Amino acid sequence: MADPIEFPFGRPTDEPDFSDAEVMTRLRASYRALPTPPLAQVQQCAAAVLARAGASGAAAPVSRSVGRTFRPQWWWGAAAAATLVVGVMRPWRGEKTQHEADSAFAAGAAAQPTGSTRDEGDGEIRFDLTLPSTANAVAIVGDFNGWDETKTPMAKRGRDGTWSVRVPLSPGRYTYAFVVDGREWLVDALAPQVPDAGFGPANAVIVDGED
Amino acid sequence: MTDAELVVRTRTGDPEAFGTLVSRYYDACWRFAYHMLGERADAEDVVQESFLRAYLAIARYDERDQFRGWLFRILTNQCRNALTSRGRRTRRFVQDDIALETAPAAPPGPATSVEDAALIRALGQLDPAQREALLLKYAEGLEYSEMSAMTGAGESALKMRVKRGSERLRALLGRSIEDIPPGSMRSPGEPST
Amino acid sequence: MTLTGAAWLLLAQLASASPAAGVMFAQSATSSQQRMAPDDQALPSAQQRQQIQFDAARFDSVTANTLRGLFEDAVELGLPTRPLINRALEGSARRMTGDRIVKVVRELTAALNEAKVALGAGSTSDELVAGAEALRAGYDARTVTAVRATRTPGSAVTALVVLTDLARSGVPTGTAREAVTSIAKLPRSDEALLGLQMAVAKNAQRGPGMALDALNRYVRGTIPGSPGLSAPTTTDRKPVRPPDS
Repeated sequence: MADPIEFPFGRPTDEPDFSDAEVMTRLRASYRALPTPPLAQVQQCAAAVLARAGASGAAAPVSRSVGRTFRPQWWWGAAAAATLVVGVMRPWRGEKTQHEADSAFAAGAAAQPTGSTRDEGDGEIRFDLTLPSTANAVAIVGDFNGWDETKTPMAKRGRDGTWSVRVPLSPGRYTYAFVVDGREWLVDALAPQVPDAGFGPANAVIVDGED
Repeated sequence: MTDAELVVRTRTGDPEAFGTLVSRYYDACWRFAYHMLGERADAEDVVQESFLRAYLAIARYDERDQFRGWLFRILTNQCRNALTSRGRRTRRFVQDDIALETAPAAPPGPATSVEDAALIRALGQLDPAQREALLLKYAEGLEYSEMSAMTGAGESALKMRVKRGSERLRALLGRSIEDIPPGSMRSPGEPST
Repeated sequence: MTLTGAAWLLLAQLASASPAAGVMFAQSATSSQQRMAPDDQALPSAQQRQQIQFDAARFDSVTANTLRGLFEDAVELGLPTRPLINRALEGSARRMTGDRIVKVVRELTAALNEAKVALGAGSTSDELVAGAEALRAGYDARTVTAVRATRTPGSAVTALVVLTDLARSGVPTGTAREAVTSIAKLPRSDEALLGLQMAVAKNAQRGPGMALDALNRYVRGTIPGSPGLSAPTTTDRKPVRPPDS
């Protein structure tokens, strides 16, 4: 199998002495042995970076004049060669595939609501839930309100799709879930879950009895 | 399309151009990060963080420089940060009567690969500065002058790190696997014996 | 799932419907308008009636009858009824059929019974439920007992909940058991246990093997414990800061 990573063998300067050659060989072999990260992972990284940069409010980076910078001569040739080799081994598949991959990833990652629970210390627990898409009404249902979706509606915070409510809970363990717009039942993907009993997934929360 | 052209496009807000840059360098970045940090998930985190920093700083990047070099400077910084903060939190593993899989080698499952687990473990026992110098010199193939510009350390200091790191690595690898206690990843605060 | 002899007997009885229990309430249950007001009836003991308060109006009458029978059988077995009632209410809220609700409640009863054996005397109702869920998640009774052994009665809920959650992230049962028991043995380790749960849940989303990586990292960073366990090694995504040139 062709070596996907080009190493600058036969360099004129800084040749390792004989004993170091073993180390170098082994290091390079280890590099080669690692599997190529799957395309999905790479694309997820790019998508995540763009999302985080966007989320932080960063505008598209604009070119500014630069001062003295790092400018090694040798890199040019090797970088070009590496690029060429990478291009051959894993051709960039084109815009369409990238778009599909991006939206598939975004859909997958975004489809999971995530939330948090917080003990407010005054006998109430605050439940927060961030939803991937807009909703008009969200309610929390659980052991503490007889799973009645009219009892504990949540309030929307800001424009970022986060919903929140405080529930008075005495110490103990409770199972709960969220009902969106009166029809869709969702769970917090990060909070502890209970095995599906035949009803669908649900979360569990433990309220501490002591400090 | 050259890196320089992609950078120019990225600056105007073209996400696909940036995506192409990521796909060009992800592999190389990840392999370096994995050898520096010893764990896949950490390597992924650090690589993503590095690309993020690169994206946010791309206005300051000079197209006459090598993108790879510039990116690697960010990457080595991020690896160093990750190791420093990990060192603050990681406790030395003490063999429990309950056996736990703790080696940073490949986890079971579809992601398993045939990799040099002993090497990764041995690398983990080096002083991070030595590890970094070794990787930059032998795996990335940099000149000492380039390494100096990248890391800010003097060339003779770097040569010493490579030499010492190489000696220690050889010593570690020379022992059989059973002699190396599992999970004894060194944190930066501890002196290398 | 293995059951004790008594539990099998009970299940056999439950499966054949319990008309005897149902008849007692037939009069009051025929009217769909009328609420079942448990405290009104003259039945087993007032105390037992007290335990079985549930809004029967949320079910059709047949289901309500069957459920009441199941709840009373649970009392006979010395099992808490509140978790069963909660499950029934959940089923009704989710618009499940009466058959499915009854099936789920029966299965939970059996799991509670098995958990009671595994967890032993003195375990609280919350612990029994958490233990039952762990069994349903695929752990064996031996594992549940091992977790029980790390804590005094009443304080094993978090450990059991975390154990249960690890199963859905693809952590092998043996590994999950070792991780949870080794952390749970440490003093005041509920926070650490929840941190483990979060670390694994977050990383499980990233791909195969990620959950196990995260678990190993976390355990390594937590053991040996000392008062004031450190934060998990896997943290939230770092906030975006201006890049250091």
